[in-house]
Amino acid sequence: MMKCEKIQKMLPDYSVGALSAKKRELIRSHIKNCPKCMERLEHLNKIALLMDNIPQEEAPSYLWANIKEKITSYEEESFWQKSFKWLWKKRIPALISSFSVLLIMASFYFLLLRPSEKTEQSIYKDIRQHTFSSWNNPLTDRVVLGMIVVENEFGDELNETNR
Amino acid sequence: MEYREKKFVKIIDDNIIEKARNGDICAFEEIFKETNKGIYNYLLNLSLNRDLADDLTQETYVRAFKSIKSLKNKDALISWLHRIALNLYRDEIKKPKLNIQIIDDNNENNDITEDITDWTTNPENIATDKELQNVVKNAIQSLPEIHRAVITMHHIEGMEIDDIAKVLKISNGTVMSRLARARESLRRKLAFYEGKK
Amino acid sequence: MKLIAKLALFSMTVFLLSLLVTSLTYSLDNSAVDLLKKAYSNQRLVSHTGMLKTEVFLGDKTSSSIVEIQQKEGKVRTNYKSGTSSGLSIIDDGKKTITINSKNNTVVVSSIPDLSNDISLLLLNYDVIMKGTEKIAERQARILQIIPKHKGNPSIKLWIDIKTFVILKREYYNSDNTLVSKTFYTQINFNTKINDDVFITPINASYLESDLSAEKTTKDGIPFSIFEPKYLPVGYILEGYYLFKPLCGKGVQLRYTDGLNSISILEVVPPIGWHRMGWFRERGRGMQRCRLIDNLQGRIIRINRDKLNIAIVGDISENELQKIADNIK
Repeated sequence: MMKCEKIQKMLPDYSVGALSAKKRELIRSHIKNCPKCMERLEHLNKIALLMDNIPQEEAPSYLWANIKEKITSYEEESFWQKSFKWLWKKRIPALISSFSVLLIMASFYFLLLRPSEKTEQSIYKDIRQHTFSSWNNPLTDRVVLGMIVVENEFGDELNETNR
Repeated sequence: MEYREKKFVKIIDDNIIEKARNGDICAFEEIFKETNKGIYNYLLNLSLNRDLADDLTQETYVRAFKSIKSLKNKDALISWLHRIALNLYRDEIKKPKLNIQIIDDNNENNDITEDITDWTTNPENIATDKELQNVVKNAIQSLPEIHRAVITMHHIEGMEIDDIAKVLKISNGTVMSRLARARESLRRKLAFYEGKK
Repeated sequence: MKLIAKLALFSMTVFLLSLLVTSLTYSLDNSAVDLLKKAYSNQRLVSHTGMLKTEVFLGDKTSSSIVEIQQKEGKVRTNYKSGTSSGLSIIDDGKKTITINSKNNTVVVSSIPDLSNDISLLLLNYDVIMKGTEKIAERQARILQIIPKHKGNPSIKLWIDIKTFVILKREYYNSDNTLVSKTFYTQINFNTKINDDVFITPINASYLESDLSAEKTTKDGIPFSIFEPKYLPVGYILEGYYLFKPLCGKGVQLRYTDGLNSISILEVVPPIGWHRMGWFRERGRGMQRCRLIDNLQGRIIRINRDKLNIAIVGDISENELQKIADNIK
């Protein structure tokens, strides 16, 4: 006869269904006559049952919106990458000459015409400083203010009309 | 194999997976709707932090969408998603974080078997199964990560042993032995209450 | 005889009726003002948790965010849950804001400029009108509209909780009377317990210096000579001078308010030698460069005067903004 101590050590594996047929038979014949070990096994099975019935929590509703945003921008990127690859394969000579023209125009724009990055940054900074000064007004919408005040949150929302 | 009521695990239509592979976001949304509860609860039980579970769930699906072409076997969708989630979780805990102490979570012996009395003040109140279930839920959270992982996948999400083995990249036998260790840990913790019943 | 008596009676009734009506409207107006006063003073005091939705309308783009609020004993924690700001948390204790960015594990602490909590200036420049009641987040709220007396200023609509005077919904209409933002509670709970460690600043994060300032100063405390506007739109008075650190050089912010809206004139003196380089890099060869830009917080004009770079920011009409710019001496 197997000692209860040894049987009880094997009970968790037994309850999970892991042991060999021989060992299972051994345990089965022991617990037939051992209420203590039977009780132990019942506890293990009960715990399993309780766990099986633990309800799952609902995921928050805003998850999909965020995911969709990220994968949509990824999808759009891929399209441009694909078209660039196609163009490169088909029109090499024409592409090179037009590309170099573009390059010259772009460098002209970026070096001379486009406002310096520092100016852009200064503008954002002015807006943020101005916005932040009204933080303590009880009627201001601090949620929206928070978004503006955090570095360049709405940077790309600026709509420029130059004079 | 032990006998237990099989949880109804929905099977995703092959068509939908094919569409999602081709970049169809609506099809991917279907996949999300069917599987996000499981993934969210999995990450919730791993990280024990709602904000982290939120972020990681989102990251899991974004990553899944980007690499869905690498999904070889359509039947392995659920395990594949779980593997992405688990990897993201493991990467996350390696980063230095705000205010969170990382304990070596892979040690099976790192188990808080004391503090049994912390959970309720009055054992007579643990009369109903519902309350006992809550105690079990709390007890699971005090187990080491590797136990929480198998318990969540097997009992709460109803995944098959084979699939769990694929997620964790271990053998079926190891999965079952982890389940057994976890069950024994829980039994010891709940012995106090079982005795009172 | 009879006719005169009838006329007398008639005019008496008319007189009494008009007296009644004016007294009614007066008391209605009064209660609107009272409601506003209560809302003004109660905003930080009422402990609650809730979920807010914010919608921002810029041009034809709409962006929406979901935000979680935890407020207890004068401290507020705002957790941005979705949208472009997701992962951001701001703790506000009335004296400073602690901005926690969980994505790159950084924290920025900024002192909040002190503002007076007196609405008398607002009442001079705005009409406060009650517009009925509506249910927001399952709570009864009174609708208050704050409309400018002088055209070309923003207006706001507030939904104020009848019991606690918490503002449950806000709509902000800019100086062109276009709805720019809408923020409202989708759920609110006044009975939840909030753990104090929600307001604790994190330990293992990199603390970055804030570039926003709240250092109020007097005119004498300004280290360089400034230009002051000779023209301001009706209703605006000087609220104060603030020193701040621009990207390069030294700066001062002149803040003007009409009780609700504000205009800032930011003047920066670049460090010696920069203005020559700056001149080359800015567009155009003239000394005066004007750029007018529309943004969420109204409009901004940037001009140069002498060696100073001046920016005028505010949600007022283009004309008014241009007038201020033209009259700075």
